[in-house]
Amino acid sequence: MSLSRIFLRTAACVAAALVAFAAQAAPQKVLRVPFLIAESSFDPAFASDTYSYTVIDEIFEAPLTYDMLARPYKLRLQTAESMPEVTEGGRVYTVRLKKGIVFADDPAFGGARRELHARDYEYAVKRLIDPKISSPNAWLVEGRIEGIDAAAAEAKKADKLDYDKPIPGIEVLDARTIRFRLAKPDYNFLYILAMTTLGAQAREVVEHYGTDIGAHPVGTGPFVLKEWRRSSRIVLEKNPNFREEYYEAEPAANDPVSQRLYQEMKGKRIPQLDRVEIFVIEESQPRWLAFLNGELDWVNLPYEFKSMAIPGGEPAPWLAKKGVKYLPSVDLDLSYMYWNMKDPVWGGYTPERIALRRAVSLAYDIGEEIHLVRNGTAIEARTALPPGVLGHDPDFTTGPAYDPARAKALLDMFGYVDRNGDGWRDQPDGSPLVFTYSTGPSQLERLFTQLWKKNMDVLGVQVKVEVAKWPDLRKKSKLGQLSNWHLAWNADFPDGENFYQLLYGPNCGSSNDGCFQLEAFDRLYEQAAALPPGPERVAIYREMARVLAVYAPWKTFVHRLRNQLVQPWVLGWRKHQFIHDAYRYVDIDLAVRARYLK
Amino acid sequence: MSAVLPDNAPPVMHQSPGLWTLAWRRLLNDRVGVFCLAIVVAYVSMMLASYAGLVAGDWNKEKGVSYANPSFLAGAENLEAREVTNRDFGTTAKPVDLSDIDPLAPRYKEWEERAAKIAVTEVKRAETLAFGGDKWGRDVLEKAIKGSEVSIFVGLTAALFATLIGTILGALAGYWGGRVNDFLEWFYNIFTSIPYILLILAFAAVFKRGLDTIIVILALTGWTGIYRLVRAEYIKHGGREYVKAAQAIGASHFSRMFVHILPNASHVILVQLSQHVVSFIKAEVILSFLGLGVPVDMVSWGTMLAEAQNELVIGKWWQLFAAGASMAILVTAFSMLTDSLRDALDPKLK
Repeated sequence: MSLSRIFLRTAACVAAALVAFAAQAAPQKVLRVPFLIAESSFDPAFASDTYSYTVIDEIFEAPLTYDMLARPYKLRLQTAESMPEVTEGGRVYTVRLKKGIVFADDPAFGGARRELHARDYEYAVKRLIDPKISSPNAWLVEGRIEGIDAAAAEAKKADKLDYDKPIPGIEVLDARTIRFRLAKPDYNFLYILAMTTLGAQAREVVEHYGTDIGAHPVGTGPFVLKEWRRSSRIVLEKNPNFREEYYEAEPAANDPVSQRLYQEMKGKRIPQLDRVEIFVIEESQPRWLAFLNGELDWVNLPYEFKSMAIPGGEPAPWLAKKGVKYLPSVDLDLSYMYWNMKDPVWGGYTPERIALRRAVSLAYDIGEEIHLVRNGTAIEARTALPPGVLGHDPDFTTGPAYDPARAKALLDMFGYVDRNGDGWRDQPDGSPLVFTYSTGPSQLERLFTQLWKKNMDVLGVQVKVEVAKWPDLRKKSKLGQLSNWHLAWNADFPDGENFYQLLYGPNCGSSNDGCFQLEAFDRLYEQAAALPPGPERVAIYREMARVLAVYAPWKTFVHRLRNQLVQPWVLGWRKHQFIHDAYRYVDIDLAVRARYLK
Repeated sequence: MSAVLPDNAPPVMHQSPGLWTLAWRRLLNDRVGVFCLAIVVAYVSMMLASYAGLVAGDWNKEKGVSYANPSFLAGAENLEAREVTNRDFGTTAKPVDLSDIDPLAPRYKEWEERAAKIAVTEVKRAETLAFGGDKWGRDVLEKAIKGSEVSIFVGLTAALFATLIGTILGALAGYWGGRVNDFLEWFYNIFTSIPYILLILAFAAVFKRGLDTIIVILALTGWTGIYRLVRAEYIKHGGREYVKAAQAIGASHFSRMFVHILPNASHVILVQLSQHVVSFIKAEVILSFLGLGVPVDMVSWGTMLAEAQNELVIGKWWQLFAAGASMAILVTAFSMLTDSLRDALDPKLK
């Protein structure tokens, strides 16, 4: 027998076996999607990044969640039986849970079915103040729930949290009822109850896995973690224990896209997918090519390829021929640069320091960032609050954001002129003025650095570039060692408070990296928190925007646009800001997929 | 080989002054060698001219539109440039009045007056550039010339340092043998047991970023091969008669190592030097490509290739071509020159 014949026979055998196998198993609905950045951990108390939370959201469940299609964003029930009862003017929240919710099976339960208990929510909150975890999410509950700050302080002193000791503000009334008492009225607490950080966790699982809990997420959600190759591949599978639930949403009547998605999913059992495979693909080019090959089911179009894929805001003919759906949206985020208000050169509240920061802001060509660097995939952030967040004001402006003439005039007026003849501006006292720009090594960051350098050269301000890895810079930033830094914030809930807490004085040392502490601003912040959402609160947010425009503790850059491209066989999906990828609300039309991938 | 050697030994002993002249003559007879030498000389002079500011002095100036077409592709559609010119920043809303809380409010009028006096000039951007433009509208040809400065300088200096380190350590180990040899071998083993790229990345993580750092990194990681070859040469020559004779007339250790043996090992060293220039030019490209290299206000072929990564997909091939071709020609020429040099210098092939 010739070699080629052996090969042919073997191939035929393999093919026959494959066919037999395929006939046996029902066709699986598998969704394949990319992550841009690697996940960190699947412990809701430990992780705080978007990508880890995209997975955590599918495994754990908070009492509330969001409507998939309603815009503006709207809360809906998840494990709660009804909307929490809010009493005492926004101070007491009573949550009642649905019957018959069980956790996914896990060896830690010893083979028994484990029903959801109100205690599991209390436990999740307590883990946030455990000094052993030192959770980055503690701000969600600290200062909000009564008695939690004292408990946290005590735990910190003992370096150990006593989980059996009750916290005065959290009462488990019975197996299905939990009551939260807040330190002060807070109408945003409903949003906190919709964050998966507060998702129910079984204490026996956490204790069973110890420090390895980040790799063993066990919750009540629609998916379970099946496989995890760190920073490379995550596989989720349908949770067989997931309760019987059917798709329902409230798309706006004037939103045809959401209406179509609603029709695609209406009344279907959740979840429809059998399996979700997530690939971490950091480089934009392979991600984009994988999508074009049909190996990924959706992709947020990398901005470099925008003019090729969607010239003039419409999918190019070659892309339309593939049946690809184009779903543009604005992310509820903000990219900004904070100034370290304690910095001896750039910080401070005196007129000349205010002038200095405002001049640098005016000298930065935001239009070039948006249209050249970001290729038009962003909109200018005139205030800190993006569209879709309560408090966003589309008419707020302080004039053109880029005005080099006014920038130079301002520096001249306050004595920031060249005093030693080296061609660069100096400080009023004669010492050199150096703008230190801390950044990372990636190509995109290099483009931003080039833009800053170019603009500062025009202004006459000397630039020093410090390149370091993001985690190192973050450490320095938290210690207040940077004079400024470029950051981005993704909204956790659609209210301005979520952004303004980054500038609230008492948050210096936790989320307020620049340590902006202004009495007038803090008072407005506290006033807003005590008001229910509505026009009065919006008026206060507008006043806060004015204060920020004057003192310039931040340079706000952009809100990013998302040019989501979705394969024709993916049903029901569009990006959701708060429940992230929401795999539970996705379906796949296998017939369409087979037709397109032929 | 052995048949040739005895005839050669006597002239070597006297450090014949003809060695270099002979080598040079042999090189001139090699047509490929001369051609490659000419290319290398042309590159080095281009680099020096750029360093002196005679050419490509304003490479950083944005002369064209974003991704300006090369002049031989003048009519082609440029979607990227259109995206940039599309910018529309008009907001119809009236600016918010801040004067009641603004500490700068008393000087608003002065501010406006001063600002009005400062002229802002709009740069006129060309639609096409000689060999096309990059994202910022800079001329890629000028970038490639300016980039040669960094790439060649780094390659040459790092190779010189690496050769210096390798030669000195190799000479010590080969000449002295014994403990010195053991110690240096141990040192060498540690260096070579770590994967090369990993070692480079480790050094890059520890040192501050900058051009000098790249040179140091490449020199510190690249000396190992040279060390082994030089050591072998010294072991071989250490016992030769001419060295013994030098010892007999009272030549010092230093003189024996560097005056007597070194010229006889020089062909190995020179060839290694030029080979390392080639590999270091490539290493600089890799380092810059990984973002560990050149600072932001400089350009090298590596940074150009890194930028070109995504440009290829959107059909802007000229930057990749400019940097890639410059590097390919130089590296090929240098490699072939190395070959000719080896032929010319090896005393055994006379």
